[in-house]
Amino acid sequence: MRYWILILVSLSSLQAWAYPDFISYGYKSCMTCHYTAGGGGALNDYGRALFATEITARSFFNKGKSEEQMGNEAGFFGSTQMPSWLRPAFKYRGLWVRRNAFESSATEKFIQMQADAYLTVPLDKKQKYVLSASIGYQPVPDRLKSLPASEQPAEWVSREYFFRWQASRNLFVYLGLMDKMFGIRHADHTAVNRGLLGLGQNDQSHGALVFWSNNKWTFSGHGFVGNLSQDSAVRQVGGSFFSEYDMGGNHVIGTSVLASQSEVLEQQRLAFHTRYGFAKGRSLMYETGFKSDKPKSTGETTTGWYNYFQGLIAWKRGYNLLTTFQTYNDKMTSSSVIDSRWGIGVLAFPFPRTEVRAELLNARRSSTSPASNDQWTAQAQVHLSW
Amino acid sequence: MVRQIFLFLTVFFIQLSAEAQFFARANYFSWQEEVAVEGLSGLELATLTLSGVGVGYEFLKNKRWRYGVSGYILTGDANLHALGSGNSARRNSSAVVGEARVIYRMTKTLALGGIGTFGQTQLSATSKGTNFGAYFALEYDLNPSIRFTQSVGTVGMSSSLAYAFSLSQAF
Repeated sequence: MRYWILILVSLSSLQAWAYPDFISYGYKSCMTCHYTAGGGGALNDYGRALFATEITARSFFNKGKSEEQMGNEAGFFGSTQMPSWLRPAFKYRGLWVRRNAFESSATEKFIQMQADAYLTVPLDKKQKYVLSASIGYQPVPDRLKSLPASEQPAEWVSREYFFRWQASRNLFVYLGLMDKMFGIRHADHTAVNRGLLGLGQNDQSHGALVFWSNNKWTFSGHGFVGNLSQDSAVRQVGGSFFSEYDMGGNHVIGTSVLASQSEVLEQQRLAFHTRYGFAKGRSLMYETGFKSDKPKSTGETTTGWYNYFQGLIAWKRGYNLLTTFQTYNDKMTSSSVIDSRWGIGVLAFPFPRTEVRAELLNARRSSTSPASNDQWTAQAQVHLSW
Repeated sequence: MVRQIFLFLTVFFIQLSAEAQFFARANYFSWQEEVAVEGLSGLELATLTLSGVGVGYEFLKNKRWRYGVSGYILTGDANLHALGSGNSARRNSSAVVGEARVIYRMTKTLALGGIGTFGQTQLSATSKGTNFGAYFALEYDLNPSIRFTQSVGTVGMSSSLAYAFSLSQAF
């Protein structure tokens, strides 16, 4: 039997998560495509094959190849198979952004968001025990370059390293440095339901995560002690709980809670979300939640309310219309600042291992101060997943 | 103006077939328009963010085309681009919006079309103002009776962005 079909069959007992949008293809869980429980990081063998055979366009590349061939060639060295105990991977993400896009004062910038190398070592053929780690290069952001070298963030960082144990068919245990499990985890780490909540690109934490799922329910409990490479004063120590229920017909609903504190700040988060694939390649996602912060210096709690919506509409294999809308109400009072961001763009997978995003974003603010003109931003991203 | 609207609606309804559906809709609108503000002379630009409910009536001309009218009552706030005598640029706002839509079904679950709106907006303690809007709409059939519509366009034919979201339940 062919390589990728073998993998597909061997993993078919798992719940599946890919990009959360891909619920419209029937993939409801991140673990089918990723080694992590909540998505992100390296793709596993099934994820590689799925990337090539389900979502990558065939307009320019691989026109004459069968799906089986494309799946076979999705490995790190193409069709050359590697030992089952060795799974390297590489991920690159670059962003070009033009702020005030239609103004004479427009500024352009290129940002290298991610250049991570991964090494995953399944310790047995059934992948009951797995070790995984990453190392990545991240240039010091321009705004921090004026700081003394000792205060600048490290340029070489590891965003994850963990040990995974599959304790039973439905139960997984993770130990190590990981993303916190909370809400809908999608690719835009600057969104209101990611970066704003302290769940951004560099907000991983050391801890232990227990993940259980069956055909209907998913539960995850995550205890964490902060990122031990950070100053102890800012490490957030606490836990999160995540659950999701399969309503059937590619529709899930879920809830998440998170509570943590450091020496300077207490944080509480609550979210409700739904993901709905209403036709193949067509999905809507919505998350609403509350963000409560209490600086220990003031003892004053501020609670904000956020909404995140995303629609993904495939019009042809590999090419999708991407729409987003998000709002954040910072205090939920009559004097709140309410930020809204509306976006429309394209999410494309034109070549194997390649993702391209191009978006036009409108930012609008409502407050008790005189309104300023909307801010328009044009941006394009390229992601390479090798 | 009233006569023209009446004439338009008469022609509109005559053109339609008898197959029709009622809708209840929940809506979210955000647009910019010039409004009258107490304490300020003339009209001032405001960014309005309003939500509310409404009802709609749609006719199925054939498998591809649908025509409909809807009415909404919306409340929310307006953020003025200038500071009025009330010393806050945020004002309570309400609006009554009527719309006519023409929708073309592309696939079983996806349709697109155009929406024209006529609205009457009021800020707290000011006189009412009227506006016209035009939107491009993308409509998803989430199931046989629930539709989600995303719209983008402009109000008052200005260059500023207007967008709207609508969740509809058919009866």
